[in-house]
Amino acid sequence: MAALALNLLIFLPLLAAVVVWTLPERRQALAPQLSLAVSLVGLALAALLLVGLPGLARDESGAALIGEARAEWIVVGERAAGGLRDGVILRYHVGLDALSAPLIALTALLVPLSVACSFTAVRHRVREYYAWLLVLTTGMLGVFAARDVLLFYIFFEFTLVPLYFLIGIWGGPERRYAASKFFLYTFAGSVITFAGLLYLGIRAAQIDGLSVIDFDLVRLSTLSLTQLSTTEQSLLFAALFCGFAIKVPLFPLHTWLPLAHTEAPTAGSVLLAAVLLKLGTYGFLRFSLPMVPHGALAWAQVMGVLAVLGIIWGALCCWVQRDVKKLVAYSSVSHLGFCMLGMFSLLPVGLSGSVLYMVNHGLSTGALFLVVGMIYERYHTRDLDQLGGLARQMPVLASFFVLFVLSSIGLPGLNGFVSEITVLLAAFNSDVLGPWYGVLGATGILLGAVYMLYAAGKVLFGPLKEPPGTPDLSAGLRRDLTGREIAILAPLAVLVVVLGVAPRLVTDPLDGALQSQILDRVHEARAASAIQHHPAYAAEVHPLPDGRGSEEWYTTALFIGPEPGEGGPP
Amino acid sequence: MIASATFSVLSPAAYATLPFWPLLGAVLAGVLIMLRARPQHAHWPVVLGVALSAALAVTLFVDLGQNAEVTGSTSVTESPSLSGRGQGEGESGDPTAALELGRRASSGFSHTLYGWISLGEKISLQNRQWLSVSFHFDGLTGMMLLFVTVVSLIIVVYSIGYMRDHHGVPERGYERFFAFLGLFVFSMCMLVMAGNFVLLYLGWELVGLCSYLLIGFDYHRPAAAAAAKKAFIVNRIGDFGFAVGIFALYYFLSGCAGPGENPLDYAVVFKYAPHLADADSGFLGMSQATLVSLLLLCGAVGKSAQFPLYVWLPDAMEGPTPVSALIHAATMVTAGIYMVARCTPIFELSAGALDVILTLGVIGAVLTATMALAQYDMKRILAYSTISQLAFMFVGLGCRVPDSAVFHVFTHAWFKALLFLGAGSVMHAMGGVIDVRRFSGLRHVLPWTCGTMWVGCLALAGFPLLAGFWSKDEIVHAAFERHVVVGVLMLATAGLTAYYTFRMFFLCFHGKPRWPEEAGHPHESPRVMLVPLVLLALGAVLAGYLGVRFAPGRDSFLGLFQPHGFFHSYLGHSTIGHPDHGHGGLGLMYLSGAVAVGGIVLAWVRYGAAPEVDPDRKLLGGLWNLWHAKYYVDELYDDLFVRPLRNFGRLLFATDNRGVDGVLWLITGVPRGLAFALHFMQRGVLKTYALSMVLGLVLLMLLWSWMA
Repeated sequence: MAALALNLLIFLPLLAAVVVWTLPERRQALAPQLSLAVSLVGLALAALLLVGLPGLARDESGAALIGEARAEWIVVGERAAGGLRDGVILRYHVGLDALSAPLIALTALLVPLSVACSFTAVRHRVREYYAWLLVLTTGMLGVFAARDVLLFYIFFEFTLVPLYFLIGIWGGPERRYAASKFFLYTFAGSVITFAGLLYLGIRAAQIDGLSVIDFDLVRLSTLSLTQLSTTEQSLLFAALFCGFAIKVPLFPLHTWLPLAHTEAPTAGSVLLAAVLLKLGTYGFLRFSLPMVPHGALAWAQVMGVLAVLGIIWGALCCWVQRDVKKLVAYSSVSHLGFCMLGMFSLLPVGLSGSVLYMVNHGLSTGALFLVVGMIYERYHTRDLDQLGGLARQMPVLASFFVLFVLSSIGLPGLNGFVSEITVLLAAFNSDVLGPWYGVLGATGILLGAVYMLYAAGKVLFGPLKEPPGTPDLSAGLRRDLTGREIAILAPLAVLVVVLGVAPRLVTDPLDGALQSQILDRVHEARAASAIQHHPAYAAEVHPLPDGRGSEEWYTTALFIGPEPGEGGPP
Repeated sequence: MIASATFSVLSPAAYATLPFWPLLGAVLAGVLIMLRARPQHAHWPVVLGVALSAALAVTLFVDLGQNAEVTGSTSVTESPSLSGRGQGEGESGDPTAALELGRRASSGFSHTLYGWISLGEKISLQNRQWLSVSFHFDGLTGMMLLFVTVVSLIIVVYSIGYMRDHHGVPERGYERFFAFLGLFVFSMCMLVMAGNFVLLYLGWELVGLCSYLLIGFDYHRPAAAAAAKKAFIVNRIGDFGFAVGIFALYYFLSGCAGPGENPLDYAVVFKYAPHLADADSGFLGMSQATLVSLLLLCGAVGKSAQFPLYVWLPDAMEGPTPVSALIHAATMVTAGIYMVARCTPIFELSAGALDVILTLGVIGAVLTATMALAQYDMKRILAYSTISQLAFMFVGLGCRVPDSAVFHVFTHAWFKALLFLGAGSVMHAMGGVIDVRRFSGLRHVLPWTCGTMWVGCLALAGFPLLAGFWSKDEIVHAAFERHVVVGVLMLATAGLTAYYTFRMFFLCFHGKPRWPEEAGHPHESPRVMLVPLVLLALGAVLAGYLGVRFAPGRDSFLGLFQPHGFFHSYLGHSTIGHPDHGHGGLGLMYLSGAVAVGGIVLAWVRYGAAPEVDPDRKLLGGLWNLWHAKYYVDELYDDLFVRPLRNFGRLLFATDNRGVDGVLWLITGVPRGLAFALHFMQRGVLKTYALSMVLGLVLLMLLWSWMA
C-alpha cells in the first residue's frame, strides 16, 4: 500500500504532465487547475507516507524503509543457475527513510505552492509550462526516493532538462544564456560524479568478490573500509565533489547560481533554491560521507574552509546587489555554506542541524523568492533603487516579507535560528574543524542581518517609490496580496514559526539514522586512520591482538579509551 | 543539585506562564488587525496580558522572598539571613568561598517546559543533552521581573493616550503598536526568566527585534527606518561576540557536564565555572574565564549601548516616545547589565575582564555626559543621559558590586521612564516638536507634566533622598574604593548629569511662556497619560528605599539611613551573592549629595530664565561644537567600517563576475578553440568534403595495412 503511494507520488506528476501537455487549446485554462490538483494529491500522499516516520525512527536495525518498491530494471549479463553471473544490474528501487523524508516533505509542500504562484505570472505557452513543472516534480521526488545509486543519478540529471526549459522559455531577459550556463555548469560537474559512482560500483564488486556489479545504496555505503585505500577514497570524494559541490553550490563553484535564480520564473527560482540545491547537500550526506568516509575526513577541512568562505563571500556579495532577486539568490550561497559547515563538523548535532538547515533554507528562501515574485508581478522591476515604501501600499505583503527575512537571518523563535546555532556550535566544537570555523561562520549571522535588512528597508520602508505606470494589476491582482497569494505564503509562515519552536519535529526522527548510517561509518574510518597513523598509540590503547580490526574495537579505541584494568599507558 | 524548592502561593507551572500572557495579547491584537476591526479598543488584549503578567510577577516576587527567608533561616551556615549583611563578607575567606560559590550556583531553581533543541547524545554516556525551554527563578529574576512588568504596564496604559490625536482618534497603526509592545514584554520576560544561555539569547534577540520594529514604527520616515536598521545591526555586532561566547562556554564546559546535565543551563555552567579560572584558552594567552567574559561582554556592550557601540541609542529616539521610555531607557537596554550580573560567577573569575568593563564604563559615562550638555532635542538629551547612567552601572559591575549595579537599574527604570513619558507629554502638547529652543515656560500650561518631570529630574540628578541618589551613591562609593581617579570621574559625571538634566528642565518649563505654531492651543495631557506619570513619580521617590535600611544613629545618613538594605539581601539569593561593599563612610554621601545640588544650582544660574541664546555655546565655542557633533563618531564609523566593507563586497562581486567566470571562460575556451581550429573542415563545400573523405579512406587503409 505504502509502496503504491510512493510510486504514485513520484510518477503521478509525470502522467499528469502528459495529460496537461496534450490538452486541447480551448481547454488550456484547465492546465493550472489540473496541475494544482495533482500536486495537492502528491502532498496528501507524502503526508500519508510520513505518518510512518516515527515508527521508522524506533526501528533499531535502521534498514527499514517506508513504501519500499524494488524491481530489476536493466540487467546485462549471463543468467545462470544461481542467478546472474558476470554482469551489471540496475534496479528500480525506491523507498523513504529518515534522511530522505524531510526533503520529500519539503518538495511535496513546495510544488503546489509554486504551481499556484504561476497562475497569474505565466501567460504564454501555459500547457507546456505546467507540464515541465510537473516533470520537474517527478525528477525531484525520484532523487530523494532512489535507493539505487544509478537510479539516483538518472533522476539527478533528469531534473536538469525541465529546468533548462523553464528557465530558457519563461525566464527573464537573459534567460537563454542563463539556461545554457546552468545546464552546462552543473552537467559538467555531475559527469565526473557519474564516473566516480561507476568506479565505486565496480570496486564494490571486486571487494566483495562478486562478479555482478550492482549499485545498491546500502551495499555501497557499507563496504569494508579497509579494502578501499585512503588515496582511492580521497580521489573518489573529489569525483563526487565535482557534481555535488556545483549543485550546492559551494564556493567558488557558485557563479551559475545568481544568474539562473534571477532569470528563472518565480516557480523555477523557488524550486531551484528550495529543492534542487539540496540535491547537492543530500548527495554529500548520503553518498560522500558514508561511502568514502576516509575521503570525507581527508577533505573535511577543505570543505570547512570553502563553506566559511562561501558564507562570508556570499553575504558580502548580497550587500552590493541592486536586484532584489539576485540578492536573495546570493543569500543561498551564504546559507548553504552554513549547511555544509555543519555537515563536515562530523558531529551528531552538526549533521542534524545541517539537515534541518536544508529544510529551513527551503522554507525561508523559497518564501522570499515567492514574495519577490509577487512584487515583480506588480511592478515589473526588481531594482532596489526603483522601489521603496511598499509597506504602506501592501501591509500584508510587508508582514510576510519581514517574517521571512527574520527567518532567513536566524531570529530566535523562528526556524532559521535553530539550524544556524546548532551548525555553528558543531563547527566550533568539532575536532575536525574547530573554534575558528565557528567564529568565522558566525560572522554570517551579522552580515546576514546587514544585507537582508538593507533589502527589506529599501523595498518596504521609507517614502513610497513606484516605477511609473505601476502597479500593473491587469492579471487580476490587487494592490496588496490576493487571497490566493496569502494562501500560498501562509503555510510557509506557519511552518517557519512551528519549526522554530519545535524543531524536533524534523530532528527527532533523524538522529538515530544519522548516527547509524553516517556517523558510525565516519567514526570507524577515524579510528582506523588513527591507528594507521599512530601505531604506538594503538598498541598502548589496546594491547590485545585478537580484537584488532573489528569495528567495535575501533570505536572503543577512539571514543571510550581503555577499559579499566585492561592495560593502558605504561 | 538544583534545589527543588516549592513556591507557597502558586505552582512553578503557573509562574512559567508569566511571559506568555502578553504574547497572547499581542497575537489577539494581530488577529484584530487581520479582521480589520476598528482599532478603538485594540489595546485591551495587550493591556490585560501585561497586567496579568505584572500580577504574576508581584506574586512571584513575594513568593521568592518568602522562599529565600525559609532557606535562609534553615541553613544559616550556608547563606546569610535576610537582614544580616555582615555575614556576606565571609566569602573573601578561602574555605567559605567555595561554599559560597556552590551555594550561589545552586541558588534558585529551574522549571523546564520542554526540550527545545537536541544537542545529540554523548557517545560514552548514552544520555541526551538538551537546550530546553526552561526558566530560572531566583532573587535576580524576581527583582527584574517586578519592575519590567510593572513599568511596562504603566507605559502601555500611557500609550493608550499617547497614540491618539487630540480628538482621541487612534493613530495609524495603533493595533500594530500594541501588538509589538506585547511582543516586547514577552521577549523581555523570556530574557529575564531564561534558564540557559540559548534561551537568554532568544530573549536577547527578540527584544532587539521589537526595538527594530518599534523604532521603525513610522517606517515611511527615512530617519526612522534608518535608525531601526542601525539599532538592529549595531546590536548584532555585539550579539556576534555574545554568540561566540556561548559557543566558547559550551566548548570549555560541555566535557564537565555529568549525566542529566545540560551544558548550557545556568546551574550547570555556574557550577563548573571555577574550571575556567586558570585554564588557558589558547587565544592570546587569556584564561578561559577572561575569554568567555570578554565575548559575553560584547553582547552587553551592544545591548546596553556602551562605548564603543552606543551609537544606535540616540538614533533610536526616532521611535514613538513610549517606546523610548520602555525599551530604550527602562528595560531592554538594561539587559546587558542583567546578563553580566547574572554571569557574576564567570566574570568575577577574571580581573582583566572586570577592568575592561570598568574602563568602558568610565569612558562611556564621561563621553556621553559631555555630549548631553550640547544637545537641544529633549529625547536625545535623555538618551545620552541613559547611556551615561548605563555606564555608571557598568562601573558598578567593574568594581565587583553587581548588586549595586542592579539597584541602579531598578531605580533608573522608574525615573527614566518618568522623564521620557514627561517628554512625550510635552511633545504631545507641542504638536510633535521636541527641540527645547522652540518652547519655554511650559509649567504654566502643563502643570502636572512639569511637576512630575521635576521629580524625575531630581531623581536623575541624584538629589538626596530620591531614588537615583541612593543607587548612584553606592556606585560612586565602590568607584572610590576601586581607585580614587575612577571615583573622582564618577563624581564629576554625576555633577554633569545634574547640570544637563536641569538645563533641559529649565529651558523647557521656565522662562516666558512661548511655543511653536504646530502646538496650536497647548493643553495638559489626558488623565490616562497623567496617572502613569504620577505613579512613576512615586516610584522615582520611593524605589530607592528598597535598597536602604532605616537605622537611626550617628553613623547613618542624616542620622536615619544606612545603605544596603532589603534589595541587596533579596538579590543575595541569586547568582550575584553578597559582594563586599567596603566601608565608604558618610562623608562621601554628603559630598555626592552636594555635587548634585551644585550641578542643579549651576544650571539654575545659567539657564534658569530659559535664555534664547545658549550661554554654554558662547562660552565653550569649539569644544561645544565638538560635543554637539557627538565627537563625529558616527562619521568615523562610517568611514572606518561601513564603506570599506561595502567596497570589499563590490570587489568580491566583481571577482565573481570577472575572475571566477573568467577562469571558467578559459576552461570552456579549450573546446571553443578546438572547434575554431576545426571549423574550416565543415564549410558546406562539397569539394572539401570529398577530399577529406578520400584522405580519410587512404589514411584508414594505410593504418589497416600497417596493423596487419
